[in-house]
Amino acid sequence: MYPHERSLVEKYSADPFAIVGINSDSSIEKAREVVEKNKINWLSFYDGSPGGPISTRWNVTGWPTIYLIDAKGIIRYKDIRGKEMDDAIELLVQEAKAEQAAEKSK
Amino acid sequence: MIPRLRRYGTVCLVIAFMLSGPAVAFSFSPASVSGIADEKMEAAAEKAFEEINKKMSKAQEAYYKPLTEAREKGLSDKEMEKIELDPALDPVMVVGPEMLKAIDKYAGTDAALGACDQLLALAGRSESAGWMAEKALSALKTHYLKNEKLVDVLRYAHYCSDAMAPAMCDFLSVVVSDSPHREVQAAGCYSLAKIKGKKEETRSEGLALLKRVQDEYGDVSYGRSVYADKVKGDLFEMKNLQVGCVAPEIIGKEISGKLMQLSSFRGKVILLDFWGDW
Repeated sequence: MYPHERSLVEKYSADPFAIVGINSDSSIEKAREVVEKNKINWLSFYDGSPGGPISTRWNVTGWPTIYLIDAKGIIRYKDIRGKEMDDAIELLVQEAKAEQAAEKSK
Repeated sequence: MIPRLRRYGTVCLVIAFMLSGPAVAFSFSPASVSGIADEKMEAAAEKAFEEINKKMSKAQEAYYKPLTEAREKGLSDKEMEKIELDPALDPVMVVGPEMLKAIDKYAGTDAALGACDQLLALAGRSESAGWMAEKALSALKTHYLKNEKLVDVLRYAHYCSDAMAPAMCDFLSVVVSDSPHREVQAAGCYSLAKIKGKKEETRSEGLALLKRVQDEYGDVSYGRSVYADKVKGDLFEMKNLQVGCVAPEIIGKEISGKLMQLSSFRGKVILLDFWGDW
C-alpha cells in the first residue's frame, strides 16, 4: 500500500488532492518510525490505538478502511480499492479542477 | 423397592433400545438420530470434512501456483498484478460441489454447520459459485434454524456480495422470527440491518432494524461488549457516513504533534485512509 499511496501523492502533487491518514499504531514513537522508514509523504491524525476516538466515531472495524471525499467535503466513495480507487480519484480530481476553472472564469 | 427399581431400569433399557434401534435403521433424516448415533455421525462428518479440507488446501495450492512461482522468481508487485489465475481452478469451483454433497449427507452435525459457514465465505463473493452459497443457505434454513450455534455463521452474514443479498435477507428474516435463541435472533437482526443499510433505497429499513437491535437485544453480548454499545457506532455510520453525506469534522493531532483538522483540506479531493502498521 505505501508505495502506491506515495505514487498517488507524487502524481497529483500539482492538483487538488491529498491523502489524510488516521493512524492507529500502538504508540506515537512507532507511528513516527513507520513514517520515517516508509518515506510516508502524507499527513495522518494519530488515533492512539485501533479503538481510538476517531476510529470509534467512524465505526472502523477493519484496516485499511478508505473513504473518498470530494473537494466540497462530500463522501463520494467508501471501501474502494485497486484500480477502482485510482479511477475514482482521477474522476474527482478532474471534477474539482473543472469547478476551479469555472470559478475563475466567472 | 429394590427389585421394582431394577425392573424399572430394565424397562427403560428396553424402551431406549426400541427407540434407538429403528431410528438408526430407518431414519430418513440424519438429523433426527439421537445419542450415541449422533456422536458416531458427528465423528464420521468430522472425518469426511477433514478429507474435503485437505482437497481444498491442495486445490488452493494449484490455483495460486502461478503467483507462488512468480514470487520465487522475484517478480515485482506490478508484474505480479498482471498474472491472471485460471478461474476453472478456483478452489471453490473444484471442491465446493463435493462439500455440498457432504453437507447434505451429514446435515445436522456441527461439522456440516461449519462447512456451510466456510462455503458461504468462499462462494458468497463469487459470481460463478454463488449458487453454492445459496445451497448452503437453504441447508442452514432446513437443518439449523433452531440451533444455537447458528450465531457463529450469522456474525459475518452482512459481508455477503450484492448478488447474494436478497437470498441472505430472506434467510435472516426467517432466523429473526423463528429462532428460539435470543443470541441468534440478535445476530440475525443485526446482520439484516447492516445489509439493508448498505443501499440508499433500503437504508430507512436498516435504521429501523438497528433501533430494534438496540431496544430488543441491547443486553445481548457481542464479543466483549453488548449490542447496545455495538449499535451506537453503526447508527452514526448509517446516518452520517454514507455516500452523499458531508464528511464529519475530525480535529486532532498529526503524528508530528501539530494540531490538524479535516475541514482545512476543503477544496481538495481527500483519500481518507484509516491505517496502521501491524
